[in-house]
Amino acid sequence: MKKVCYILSLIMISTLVLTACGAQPTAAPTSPPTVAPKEVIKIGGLLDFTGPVADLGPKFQAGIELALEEVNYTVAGHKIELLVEDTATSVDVAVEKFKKLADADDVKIFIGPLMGDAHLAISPLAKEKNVLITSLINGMYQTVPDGHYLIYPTTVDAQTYPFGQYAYDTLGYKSAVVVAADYAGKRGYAAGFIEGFKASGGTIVQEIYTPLGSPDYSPFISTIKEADVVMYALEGPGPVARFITQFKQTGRTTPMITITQDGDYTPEALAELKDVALGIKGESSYTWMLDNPENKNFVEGIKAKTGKVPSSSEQNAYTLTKVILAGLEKTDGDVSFDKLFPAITSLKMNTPAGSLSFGPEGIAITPMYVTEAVKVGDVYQISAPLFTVDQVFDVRVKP
Amino acid sequence: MDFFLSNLLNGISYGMILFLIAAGMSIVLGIMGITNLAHGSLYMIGAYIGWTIFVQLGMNFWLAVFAGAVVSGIIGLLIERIFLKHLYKQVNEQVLLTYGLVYITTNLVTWIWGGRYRLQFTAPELDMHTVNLGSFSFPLTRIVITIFGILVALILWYLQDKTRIGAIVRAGMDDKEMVQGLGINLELVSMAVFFVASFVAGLAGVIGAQLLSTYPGLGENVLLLTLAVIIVGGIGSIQGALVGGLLIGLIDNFGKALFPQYAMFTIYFAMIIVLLIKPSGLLGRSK
Repeated sequence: MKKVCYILSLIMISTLVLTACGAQPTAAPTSPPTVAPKEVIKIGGLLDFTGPVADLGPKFQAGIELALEEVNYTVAGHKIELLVEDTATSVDVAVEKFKKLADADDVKIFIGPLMGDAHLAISPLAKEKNVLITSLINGMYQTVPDGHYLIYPTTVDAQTYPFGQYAYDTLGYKSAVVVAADYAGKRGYAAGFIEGFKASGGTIVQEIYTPLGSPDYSPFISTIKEADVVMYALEGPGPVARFITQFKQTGRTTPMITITQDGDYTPEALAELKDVALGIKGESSYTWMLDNPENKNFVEGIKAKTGKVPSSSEQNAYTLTKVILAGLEKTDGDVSFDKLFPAITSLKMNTPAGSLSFGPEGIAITPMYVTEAVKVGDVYQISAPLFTVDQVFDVRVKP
Repeated sequence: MDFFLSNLLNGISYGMILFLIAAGMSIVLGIMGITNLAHGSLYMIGAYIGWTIFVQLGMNFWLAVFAGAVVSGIIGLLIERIFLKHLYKQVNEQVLLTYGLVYITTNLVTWIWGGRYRLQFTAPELDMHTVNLGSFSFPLTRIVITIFGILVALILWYLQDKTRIGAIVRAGMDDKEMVQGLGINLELVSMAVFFVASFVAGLAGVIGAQLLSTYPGLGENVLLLTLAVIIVGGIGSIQGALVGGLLIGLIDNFGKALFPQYAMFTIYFAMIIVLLIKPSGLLGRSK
């Protein structure tokens, strides 16, 4: 024991002596002082890679990454880091992942989540943490008072209001049955369609709301009353495919129309659905067939990245990222909400989906299109627009 | 009349899928005393194997049904041999382990096949074909599902009640030690039961995919329904699983059609009522 203490003391003294010897005053530096590197800007992606809308997570991510690759992951001299979390089509998981990114990773800018219910849960948290957050495919008007959401392309009910009018005025349907998934987002879409349809003079015969993830729609289909058209608004490509297949299997010939067609009818879903989906018209916020220079570049970029044509999922995520980057250029890389939000809402730009501007409350003003599922040669795809509304406003905030 | 008939037939076909899934789990739980919460995952794996064989590789649909059943049977047997045989009579550990396997299989399936929903698929000779029943049409796929369910029920019932092996299985359920004392290799019998239960789950996966499609997380969703069927029908008998499956299928269909605002709860109401009146299930064995 005495020997051990002696050796330890020797080591400590030697260390102190060596440290003192090493700490010699150095000569004044001759090279110019280095500039401290700019802080990395973190962007959080709340995307779904599992659950009923799992198809869409990789598409959103591809859109975000393409936008960041175009600027080499740099804005205003700052490097950008993208942190993506799987929100699993679950409100609870979305809230948990939002908190993780905001608290543990110090993220100030969020893209997503997708589901309307998640928007409602996260909006007050975003306000509390004073961070910027965006929707992915439309958003909930109820988040506007919290003032921290960028709602793109517009609110769910504003998005489908013109389509309700189109169904009556142009397609000539006088009565409709509405079938929608029973959660905030799709109820909102349904409400917008219903309001627009009724405003033009149409009659809503019946409204059916189906539980999220329903395995079998036949009980609901058996109750559908006679009407000129059935409008369905279900939670993703899988449920949409099940519904229209099971509906057609009953032998009923009532025409069907839908909303968020370009988002739900992904190229993969159309390839599997084949003729079952043909001829169904729907509301879309984007179609890859749009003829403008921004879209041509965007389509080429996504094709090179994923091997497939884009849908509104890639486009929305891409445009939202471009919007954030443009805002950061304006603020010279300042991510604080109080500077970034007004910088973004003052933007006017052309995007692959058409013109884009924002109201001061954060609701985007964008076009709406009516499209159709078609077959070109052997390829099933979404058509070019049959009808366009240049600017969709939410009447609750329209100037 | 159309409303009643269409929901009756839809309920029966859906109930048959539930029976096919639940039959195996009920037998394993009743005979071997094993709570295998990964049973729903075996259903899901069968569906994915069937999808791969039929949709991705373009092979025969009925071959896909057989392949899905065999693969699930083998995986089920491996689970029993590697894990569950060491946890005899340890219910808590069985629950924890098999629920852990649920998470593992869900993530494996996502890793291999991706998170995307795979759309429902069926044999070309059945696809979008319907049978006219008066003023409405009924899909041929649902008739095939019903026929499959009846055939499997008959085969399993025959095995259970009319064969020596079935007698051994039933005796083992009542008194394991006595059966082993008679020189019967109950472990071999248990392995065979587990394989058959998993085989039927995999077969149900491909047959059910004609209606329900397949996706990661299907195993967990199906597990809840399976437990409802077992609770209502009773543990340990084919008849119980059949009655439970049909009852849940019909209650689910008529419940959603008549009371759509309570669509999420109708089958759980049935569970509660059965538990209050007959806790062992309608055809379960009272202790």
